[in-house]
Amino acid sequence: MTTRPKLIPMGRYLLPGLIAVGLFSIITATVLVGEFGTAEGFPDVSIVSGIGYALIGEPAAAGSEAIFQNTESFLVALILIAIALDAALDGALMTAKRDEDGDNS
Amino acid sequence: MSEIFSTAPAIVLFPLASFLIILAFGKWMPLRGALAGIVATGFSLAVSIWVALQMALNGAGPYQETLYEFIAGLEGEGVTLTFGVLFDPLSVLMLIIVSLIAFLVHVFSLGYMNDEGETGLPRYYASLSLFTFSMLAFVVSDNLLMAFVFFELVGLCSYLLIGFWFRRDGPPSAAKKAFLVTRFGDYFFLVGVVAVFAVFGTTAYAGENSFINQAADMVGDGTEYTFLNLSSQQVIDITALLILGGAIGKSAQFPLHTWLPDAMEGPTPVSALIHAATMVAAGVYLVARMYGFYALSPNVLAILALLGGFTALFAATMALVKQELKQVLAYSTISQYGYMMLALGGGGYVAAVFHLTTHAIFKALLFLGAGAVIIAMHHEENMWEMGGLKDKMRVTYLTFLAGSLALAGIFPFAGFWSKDEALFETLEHALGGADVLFVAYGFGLLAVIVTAFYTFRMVFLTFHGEPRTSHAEEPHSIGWNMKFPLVVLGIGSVVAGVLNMGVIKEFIGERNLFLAEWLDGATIGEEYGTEAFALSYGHYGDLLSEYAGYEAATLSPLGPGAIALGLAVVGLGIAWYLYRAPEPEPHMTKLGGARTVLMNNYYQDELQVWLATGVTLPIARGANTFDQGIIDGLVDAAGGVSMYAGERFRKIQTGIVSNYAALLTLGLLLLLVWLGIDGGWWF
Amino acid sequence: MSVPPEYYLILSAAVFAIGVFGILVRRNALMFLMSVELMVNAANINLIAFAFFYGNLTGQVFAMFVIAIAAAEVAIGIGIILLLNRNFDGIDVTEAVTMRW
Repeated sequence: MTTRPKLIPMGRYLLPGLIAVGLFSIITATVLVGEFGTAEGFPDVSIVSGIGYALIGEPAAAGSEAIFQNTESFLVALILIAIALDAALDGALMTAKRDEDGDNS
Repeated sequence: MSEIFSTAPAIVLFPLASFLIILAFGKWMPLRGALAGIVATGFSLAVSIWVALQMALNGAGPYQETLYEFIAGLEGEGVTLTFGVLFDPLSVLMLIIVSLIAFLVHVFSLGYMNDEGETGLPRYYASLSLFTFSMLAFVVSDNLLMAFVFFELVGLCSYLLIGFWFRRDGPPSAAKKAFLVTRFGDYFFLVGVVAVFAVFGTTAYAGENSFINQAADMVGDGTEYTFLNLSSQQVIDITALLILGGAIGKSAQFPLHTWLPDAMEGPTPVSALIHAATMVAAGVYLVARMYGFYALSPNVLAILALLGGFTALFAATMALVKQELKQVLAYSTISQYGYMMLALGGGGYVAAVFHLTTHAIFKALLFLGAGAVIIAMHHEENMWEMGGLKDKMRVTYLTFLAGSLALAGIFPFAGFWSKDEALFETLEHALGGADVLFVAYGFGLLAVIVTAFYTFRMVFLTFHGEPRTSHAEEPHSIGWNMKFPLVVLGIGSVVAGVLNMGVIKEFIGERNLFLAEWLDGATIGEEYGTEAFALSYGHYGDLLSEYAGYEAATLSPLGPGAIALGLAVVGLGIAWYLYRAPEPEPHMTKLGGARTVLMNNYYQDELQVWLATGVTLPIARGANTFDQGIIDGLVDAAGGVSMYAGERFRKIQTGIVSNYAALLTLGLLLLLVWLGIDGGWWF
Repeated sequence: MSVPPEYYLILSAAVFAIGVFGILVRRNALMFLMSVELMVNAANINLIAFAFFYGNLTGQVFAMFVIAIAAAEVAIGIGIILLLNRNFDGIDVTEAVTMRW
């Protein structure tokens, strides 16, 4: 005796699944319709030096290729990220420390 | 000349000043305010008489002035509301009457209230002064709106004074009843005033543009005023009837007469002033003031005459069986004002004003006499507890007898001349073509017998025969302050007939009918009777014959006068026959069932109470249910919807983070879809 | 014979969608954090793809910063999970439901 075919019991996974699939389909549809310009790859130069120079604020000094001239300066972002990582480290330490000292805070 | 009239408004302001003084200082005044009232009314009386003499001998007046404009209308379309004064023969005559009676009542109150040790006297005298002020202002007002304002104020003072002894059960209820019944009539009056504003744009009595002149033009030229498809004649009729509603309420005509007998709960001087001579006269005075307007519509005049005649007879029958002295006088007042309305409706303007004057004198006299009797009998009012007072209260008896003879209409007392004038004018115009007036005349004639009968029943039961109780054997003596007004009014009720001896006008000539000449403006300036002051008796006569179709048949007044006199003597004779015995029997109880009906006032009070509780109250309840159920229900439902929705919506906050994330992402998804479709990302 | 950019973008979208699904479904708080990492990395793929396609190093530098930020965020997140464990005796996110109606 067999019972009629049933869907896989999805229960609480149904709505999140639909949302995820919906998000994927929207992005894909947008991407497939969009037009991109001409492709340019990277030339055969040292990418990392270019990244380094961009980080410290002088991207044009890495070389004279177009790839280096088009990059932006990330000096301010570097400093801010340094501060943010510092703060995150301290925060994690503080949260963990309070946990050890006793359960009254 | 006009200096007299520019100070004449002081007549009205003296009582106002005394009102304010008594209100502020009454507690500390030696006579609790009586002196201020007497001085104020005395001054008013003196100035009124002086103005009248100036008008009679020096030809001063007429005079109209706008004193205060309290709402200025827009040019061309709005109405302007003003307070002003109008001094012409009619208003000056009424000023004298009001201030004279007020003065005498103030003097009488010294004996009735002060000497009896009543409490709360400042309130009493303050109310009396306020009443005098309002009545005088009503009399001199120059437009309908101002008249309405003081009409209401007079009703308020009546309420205050009827309910003077408010700690008892009867007076507050009677005061409320008086106020409500007259207010009911005043509602129609107010609608009428608004109608006059709407149709004519002004409520002024005098001036070329007065509403009376405009109405005459409207009917005369045939200019149609169409509102709700009514012709201009119908508009005038309806307006006149609406204003008549107020007059019916104030002058206690059928069907709004029920308040006056109950108003006898107030002190007797109040009854004399307000409910005999002045406030109830306000209704008749109003119609007389606007007589140029009423003269334009024969239908309204017919209604007025029938109403007046019917009321005269109706009230007289009820007075037959009453046992209390003041009740008989109250119904008598209703009946006599019926005569005045009958006269106005029958085209007898002078007769109505004349009867107003004489009635004020003799009815006030009768009430003050009744007050003296009540004081003498230690506040006993039932006539069957009295008897034999004529020997012990000579002055009261003689003056009361004079007043009764005047009331019954016996020659040569004042009432004979005025009542016969009223009946004669009605008969004259009835014979001249207005047949409906015959019915009214019949009512009036029947009422003459009944009037004479109940009046003398009252006199015989109170003063003749043997004393029936110990109080009657030794009555309390009364002081000069009560006798003085009685004597003055007694002389008045004997000689006042001289004013207009219309019955014998064939012998003395038309020129010697003093009141008719006075009201025709024979002694004052040329302008009376013309466009600006179209308020004279002659002008009214023209209007009556032109628009109302009242032609006067040529009839000698001697015949009808003799008939009326004969009927009055017959009534007196029947009363004398029935009640002259030393121990009179209550003959009225022989009427059986009829007496029960009369004692219950034809069940009019019960009818009105039923109208209020059986008809108005359910309607009010229905309206209340509608208001609370439907309108409040809608408002409550709006709140309820909000709360219900809130209850449901808050369940969204489950506290589970994943749910929140799901909702967030779902929202993002929908937003992207909408933006995509709107921005054309995909097609 | 370079790879067209659409492929990278579709890959990025797929990873992102999987990350979203993980956030909505996972009960364990640590798995929740891992799904967040997935989403961040999907964005990284997108950045790198465009940087390569347009020949511009900005995308690569930006991606570095994103990695650094993701690390910081995880550090804080672990701290929060520690507190969650302390207050609710477990790290099931569907059981911490006191802030509600």
